Amino acid sequence: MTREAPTQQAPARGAPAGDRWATARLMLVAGSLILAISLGVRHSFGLFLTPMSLDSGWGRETFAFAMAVQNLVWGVAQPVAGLLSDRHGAGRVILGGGVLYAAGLAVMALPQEATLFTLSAGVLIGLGLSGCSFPIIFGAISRAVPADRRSLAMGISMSVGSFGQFAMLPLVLPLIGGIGWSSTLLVLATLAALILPLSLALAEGRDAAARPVGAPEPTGPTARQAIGEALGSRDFWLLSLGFFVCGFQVVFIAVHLPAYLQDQGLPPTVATTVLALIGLLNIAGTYLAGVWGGRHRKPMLLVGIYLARAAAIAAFVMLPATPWSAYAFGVTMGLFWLSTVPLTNEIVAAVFGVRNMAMLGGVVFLAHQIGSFLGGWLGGIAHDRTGSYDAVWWIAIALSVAAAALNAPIRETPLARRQAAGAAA
Amino acid sequence: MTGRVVGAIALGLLASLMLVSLFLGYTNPVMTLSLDRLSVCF
Repeated sequence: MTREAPTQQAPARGAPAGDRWATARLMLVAGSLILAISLGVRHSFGLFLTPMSLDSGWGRETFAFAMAVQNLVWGVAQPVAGLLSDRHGAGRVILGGGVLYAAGLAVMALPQEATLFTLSAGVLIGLGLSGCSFPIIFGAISRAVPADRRSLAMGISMSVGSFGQFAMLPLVLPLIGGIGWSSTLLVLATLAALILPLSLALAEGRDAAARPVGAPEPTGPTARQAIGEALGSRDFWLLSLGFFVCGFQVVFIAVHLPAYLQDQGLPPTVATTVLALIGLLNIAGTYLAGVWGGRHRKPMLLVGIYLARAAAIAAFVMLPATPWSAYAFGVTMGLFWLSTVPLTNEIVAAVFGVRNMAMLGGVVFLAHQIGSFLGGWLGGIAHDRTGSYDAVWWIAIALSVAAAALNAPIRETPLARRQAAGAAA
Repeated sequence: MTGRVVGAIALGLLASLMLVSLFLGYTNPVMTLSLDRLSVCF
């Protein structure tokens, strides 16, 4: 069975081109701000570990368990949120996500016991994140901008989201010291509530993406067809496996790098500087990925990123550890940190079209989250059993090379065009 | 035209100042003491 190729135009709905572009720019600005808030607030949660645990009489496990639940709920709920977004429009899903996110933060601010904390910080915020993170935002933006500007638009919004992550820690830490963790969480809940009005800018009609100008009925595959096509596509699996590696490396490094540097005899200031360098360079890296993604073959850019990560990690663990080798590692990893995100999602849009992009991007993101879970966990297990991170560093290098090999054969040709060519042959 | 260039330079300087301030926020002693908490941020 063949179907019509997905439209390469912006989802015009009877509006003149100038108005459509203005709407697309508004969506890009609002979507970027939503990403900055949703990713930034989440990024600051670790700063609440000690004060909340002390005041509530918990061990660290309670807090860490809720964060682990949050990541798993986020990953599992993402394809469902994406499905709802593709079907009912991104605005409604972001609105719901924003309500859950703000409510979760407000409940976190209350004095509580462990179960309620797991429900608020883990379940509510995990669900909220799935409603207002990048698969949903990218889906809406991709449907609003012309195909030739899609990569740039994703790069810009991810870059603003990365800025939110970078900025939030130094802003939240003094706030906790000044007004306490509970009031700080209420401030963050108010910030998250800003997602609600911003969601209005991303309001899409029902099945908006599937209905080009003048078409009375939606075109393109249904969600069920799309997931069937994706799971039957070698490229989708290769892309997802590559993104799994991204999650593994990013969380392993972010969680265990400070302890590794300490093991090497470096002071804690080196670790915070490296984390800051990663955050700062990530802003540039995600933007550049968007720019280059519009000009070059995206799978080959991903190959380059994974090979560069492998080289950077190998050099870092093989050379003697000094502050400068750590800073060089931070700069390199920062440039290639989340730059995979716009490229991976852009490949999903290019191959499978934009109608079901949020759902399919959500499935790929689930693979990323499984990798994240394993990267954080394996690092701890390896260190507890061997007293060293060496084995996991080498696993990260091997996985990086494997991810490069997995991304190399991915084709960017739209699936519909391949099917049409296959039917014609 | 000149106004735009001056505006762009001013914005660039402001953005750089903000990024440097935030970067320095990471290297202050309070943040360093909070290092163990940063590990669950990601």
